[in-house]
Amino acid sequence: MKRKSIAVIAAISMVVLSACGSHSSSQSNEKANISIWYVWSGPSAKFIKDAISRFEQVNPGIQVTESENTTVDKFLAAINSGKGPDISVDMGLDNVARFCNSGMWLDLRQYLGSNDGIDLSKVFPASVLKGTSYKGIPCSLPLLTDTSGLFYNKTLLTNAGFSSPPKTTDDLITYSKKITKFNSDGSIRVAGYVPWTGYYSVYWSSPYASYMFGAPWYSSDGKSMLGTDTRWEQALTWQKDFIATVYGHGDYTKGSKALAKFVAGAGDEWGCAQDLQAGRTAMILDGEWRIGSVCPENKATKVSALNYGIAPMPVAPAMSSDYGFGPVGGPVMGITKSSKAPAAAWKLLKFLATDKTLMESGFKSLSQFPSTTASLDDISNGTSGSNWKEMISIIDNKNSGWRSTSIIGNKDQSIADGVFSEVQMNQLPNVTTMGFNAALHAELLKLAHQIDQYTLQDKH
Amino acid sequence: MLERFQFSNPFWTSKKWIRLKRFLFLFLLLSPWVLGWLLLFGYPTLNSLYISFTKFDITTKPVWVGFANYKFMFTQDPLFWIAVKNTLWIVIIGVPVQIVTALLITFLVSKSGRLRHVLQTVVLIPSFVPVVAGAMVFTYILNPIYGPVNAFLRLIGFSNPPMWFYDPQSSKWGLVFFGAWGVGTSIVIYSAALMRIPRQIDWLAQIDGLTEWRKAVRITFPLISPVIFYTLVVETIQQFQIFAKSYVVTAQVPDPENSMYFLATDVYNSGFKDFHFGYAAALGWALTILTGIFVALIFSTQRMWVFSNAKQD
Repeated sequence: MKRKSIAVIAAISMVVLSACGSHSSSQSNEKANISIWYVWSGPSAKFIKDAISRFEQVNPGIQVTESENTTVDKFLAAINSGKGPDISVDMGLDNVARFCNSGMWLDLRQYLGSNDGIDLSKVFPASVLKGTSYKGIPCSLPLLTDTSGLFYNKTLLTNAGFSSPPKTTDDLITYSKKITKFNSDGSIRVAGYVPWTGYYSVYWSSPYASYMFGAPWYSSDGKSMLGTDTRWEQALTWQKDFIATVYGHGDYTKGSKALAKFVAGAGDEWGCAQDLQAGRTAMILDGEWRIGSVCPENKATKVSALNYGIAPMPVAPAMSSDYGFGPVGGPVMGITKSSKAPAAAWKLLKFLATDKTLMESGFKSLSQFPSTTASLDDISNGTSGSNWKEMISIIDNKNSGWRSTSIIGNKDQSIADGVFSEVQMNQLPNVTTMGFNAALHAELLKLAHQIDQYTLQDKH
Repeated sequence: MLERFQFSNPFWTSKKWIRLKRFLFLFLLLSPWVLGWLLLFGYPTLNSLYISFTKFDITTKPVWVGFANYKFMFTQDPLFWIAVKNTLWIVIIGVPVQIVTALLITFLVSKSGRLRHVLQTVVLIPSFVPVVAGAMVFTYILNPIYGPVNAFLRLIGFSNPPMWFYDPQSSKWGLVFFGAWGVGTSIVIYSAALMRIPRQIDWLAQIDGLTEWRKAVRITFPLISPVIFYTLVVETIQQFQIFAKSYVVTAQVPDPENSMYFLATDVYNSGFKDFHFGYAAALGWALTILTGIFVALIFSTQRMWVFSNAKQD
């Protein structure tokens, strides 16, 4: 009897002690005051505010101060004044190389490999991780993610005799030729696909040329490939041929003018007059947020229901075996060099990057994808609908990811987009004297040199 | 004791001391302004000059690089020359358009009799509109498809009106017209100057049989030329610093060919987008010097066309 009592007491003690142990491992006693700055504000920021509250409950010693509606220039200025945040959130991947390279965001390897670390490859899809590090050094973690694909009007495609979306850039021209309709005065009434830089926020531009044609941005030694890799010329020649064939009946100048007018009359991107919704354009590249922005039918305001589908973006015929991938990348966050409590900041960073509830509420409130594999699987296996699943399949594709960036941020895109605009407006310099191909080659070489100059300026 | 001190130190009774006392007293009165100027203008100006000779990304301390920023600007930065070309264009075209528009409206309003005060208020209203709101409105007004301007042009027979902000060839003209829309302040200044012209001169001109045009050219314009000179200098400086209009317009209408990329835009982008604050400071100085050159040129023409009763040295 006595032995039995001792055994029971010992067992109870072990249970109590192990509970205390697990309680202390989930509730940190570390004391620190840290701050996080991000761009969201108002109702859009609720998902992250709630997450931070949950973090503070689990880590009662760590107080978190938040600042919403802060952009990159603001937190850089704050860092310079010595009062920068511990964690800053950037809305895209374009500055990761710059921040990693300059040490603005700390190298996270010291934390990833610690007892409190995480195995990135187990938590995040490979496509989401691409672009969050620079030269193998991880300095940021994703906080939600985005992808884009081809949204197409099923009714317009079906009416033109197509039962599936286009898969190649040649298909895009073929489909557009049949779908595009003109008014009696020659203006475009319905467009197939619009290869126009500046047409809505996800538009045909240098990054999409690099995705769809496989054109590389930089060589292994960091030099711009704009002028040396022929895939850039292929992409721009395709754009010119598209405009001439589909919108100009063979006349490039006529097609350019018609398309310029059509783009100028585009409906509000965030309203029910958006061109895909309004049936003005049959196919458009867009992000997953479009799914949440589609307007239901409303007879009072003359909004028709949109019968649409989503597919991966078309690719050049030479890349048809790789079809199914797309750009993937969204907000990222890092521990800034001004942090006085980087260990505590790491705890918050890890929490935000992996918190399931944050991922779910970000998805519901912002129509933005979670960045963790587990949360993406939940959506995929859930009842959210086939459109979300289609886009998740793009994230899961092994070739998906963000384009390679450099220490000059997205300045390379700003420079490269200039030639896309020149082609679409038929204003390529020296085209009348040199011919299109030679003028295009010369312009690409010039722009590549410009990108290299800016890269050198940043290095030195 | 004091008297002995004064006699043994003639300085304290000298004119030098009296002048010094006067100077110190004036300095004391001016000191709040002088200190404010030094703190808020002098120091930042000298600091920006220093920064322009450094590589400074705001996250690390400035590193002295000598003339590297200026060398890059003049020999390697293509956007700089695009910005200079665009800025000079908007100054050379935009300033005269604004001044002529303001003068024309002023003359028309001055002939409107009893409605003059009402019309003066009406033409001033666009000046109250914040630049950002105005830019958003003008983006709609000049929309080549939906906008009322092109709708009117099509109505009167122009089958192919300009694409305005959507075409690099016409985008800056859109900004010029936007600028001309907001000339209300200049109109008020010119109206005040017109009101100072004695009526007798008007009567004499009528007696002499001068046409309105000759009266304007031979009499009115010279008499208000000092005011025109003032607005010319101010508008030139403002146009050199054009930023908000093009920034808001290009946020709505992408401008990949940089047709609305100006020097002030370059300063902003270099600093707050590219984090090259040293280079941005150098660009700021280039803008300042270019503005100064133009203003000096304007001043050098003053004698040729600005009428003044003041003694000319």
